[in-house]
Amino acid sequence: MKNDSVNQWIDAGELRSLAESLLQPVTTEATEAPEEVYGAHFVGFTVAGPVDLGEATAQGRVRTVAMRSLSEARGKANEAGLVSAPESAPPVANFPGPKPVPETVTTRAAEELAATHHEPESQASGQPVQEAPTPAQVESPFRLAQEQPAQSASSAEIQHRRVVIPTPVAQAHPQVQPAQQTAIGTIPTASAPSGQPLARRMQAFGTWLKRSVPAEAFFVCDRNGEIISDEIGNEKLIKVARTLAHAASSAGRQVGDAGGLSSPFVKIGVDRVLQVIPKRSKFGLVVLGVIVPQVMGREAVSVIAQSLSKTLGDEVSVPV
Amino acid sequence: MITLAITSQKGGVGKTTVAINLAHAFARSGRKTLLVDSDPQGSVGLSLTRQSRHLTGFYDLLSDPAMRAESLIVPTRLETLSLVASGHSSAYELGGGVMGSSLHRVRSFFKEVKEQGFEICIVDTAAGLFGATADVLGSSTGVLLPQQAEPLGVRSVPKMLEALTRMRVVNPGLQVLGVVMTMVQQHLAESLDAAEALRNILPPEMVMRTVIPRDDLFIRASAKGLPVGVMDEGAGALAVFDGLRAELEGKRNFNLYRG
Repeated sequence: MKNDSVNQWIDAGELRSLAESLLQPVTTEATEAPEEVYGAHFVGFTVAGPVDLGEATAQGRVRTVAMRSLSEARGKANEAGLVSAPESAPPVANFPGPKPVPETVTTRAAEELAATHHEPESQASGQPVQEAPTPAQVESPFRLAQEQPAQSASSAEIQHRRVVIPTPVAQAHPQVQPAQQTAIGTIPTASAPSGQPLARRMQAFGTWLKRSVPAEAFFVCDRNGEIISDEIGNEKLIKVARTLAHAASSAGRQVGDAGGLSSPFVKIGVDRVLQVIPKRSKFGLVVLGVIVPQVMGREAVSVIAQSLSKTLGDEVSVPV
Repeated sequence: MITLAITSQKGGVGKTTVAINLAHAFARSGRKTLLVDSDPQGSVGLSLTRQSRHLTGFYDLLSDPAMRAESLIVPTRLETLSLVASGHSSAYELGGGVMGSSLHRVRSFFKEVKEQGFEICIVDTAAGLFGATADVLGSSTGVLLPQQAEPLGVRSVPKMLEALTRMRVVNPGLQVLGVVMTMVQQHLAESLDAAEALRNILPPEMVMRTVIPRDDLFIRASAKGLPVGVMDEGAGALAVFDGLRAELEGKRNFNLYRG
């Protein structure tokens, strides 16, 4: 039969269909589809070098000052009872809304960590072992914050736990606070209250973190992904952070870096970076993920890592 | 400027012959034309210049970020036709010519060529749609597919079209101008049958009406280092490639000033 030398070897219909598709212009829909999880502003990963926020651009400084002023104003309004809504984490713009973390997971992780943490403390101080907080008290600290009435947020107890950053100029004139004072390399570490449930300590840590750096949101999880605190509710980001943290931890072991792990980061949007701060603790490797507008410098990362360590009740880092 | 890659999945199908003579046809029509040899074998240079081994060329540019396209352009006796040789470095010396490794450099090269005022840049590629050839396709505005009129060559067409489909993910602007049947042997039934079979299967606009016959004149032309149309007895070949040029220019998606 004529043309058998070709027709018996190829699928004519498939070939014709392939050729017809090649003659059509490529629809750009597929290539321009936004990354579903990260949102439309995700621009891909970057290898940008670390930038100390103390040397940030003018825009970044303005943003830092603005966020800090907002945070302070919110706190004062709470104290004065002018704001009925409790202080809560600022929403992460252009990100999917926070997904509620399963209460059972959050509760279990927090309970386990809290119980593990309280034992040695109590034994050391000779006090009876504290009871593990009830589930209603150890849910995500940010949910707790939202459920708290304003009076509670301004109570003396909470105020006592708040970390007050000594910024005299800002107290007098918050709007004209010099940008240099927002450099996170100069901030004091958080004075983590001891003897409190872990959820409370994480809440205080979060408040301190947002006052100290222009963090939009953060999460803390252990090496297995168990959530300790989460404002983002983005499993993919958490997975990325865990992967980076494990890589940093492995690299740290290879070079004999017992405590000061490197802090990897990925750019997840315009003026939005996920900074990952892994910290070895007596609970194992704990991963802090912070969304900030720019990459933080080494000194700032060190301060935050120390504060996280104190918050976890882990004053001395223990290599895992 | 339109950047036209001459590509095939299979080797030995007449890519270099089509590239040289089509570039010559465009240049004769008054278009300022650049013929680029991106085949590490350097077939264009070996066909047209005795000094090709000494010429710095395309692969040298890929391996040297400081090199400029302008320094590689070699003029010919035809004022509107210039060449860029393959060069000393090969794809294999460039880490095996991994796809994507040279994409930025190739695009920068085409941009510089455009800045030199060329209207059309014809690129003769190595066989196979991978390595540096893939980067050329990832940067080109059009691709022409020489296809040898024999059964084995035609059977490779599905694989080639699949590869081109993948390439259009990298370069959505890549326009497939069509398949041109080469080495057609009028006295051999299998050759004519293969050409006819492909023409029956593919959409009409995918197969060029112009066919390139197998002719001893092409061998004699390469022996003298000339485009076949320059040969004394090359009037017929000249008409064939003029016809191919006109057919390309008449295509709906052939925009000379795109890119």
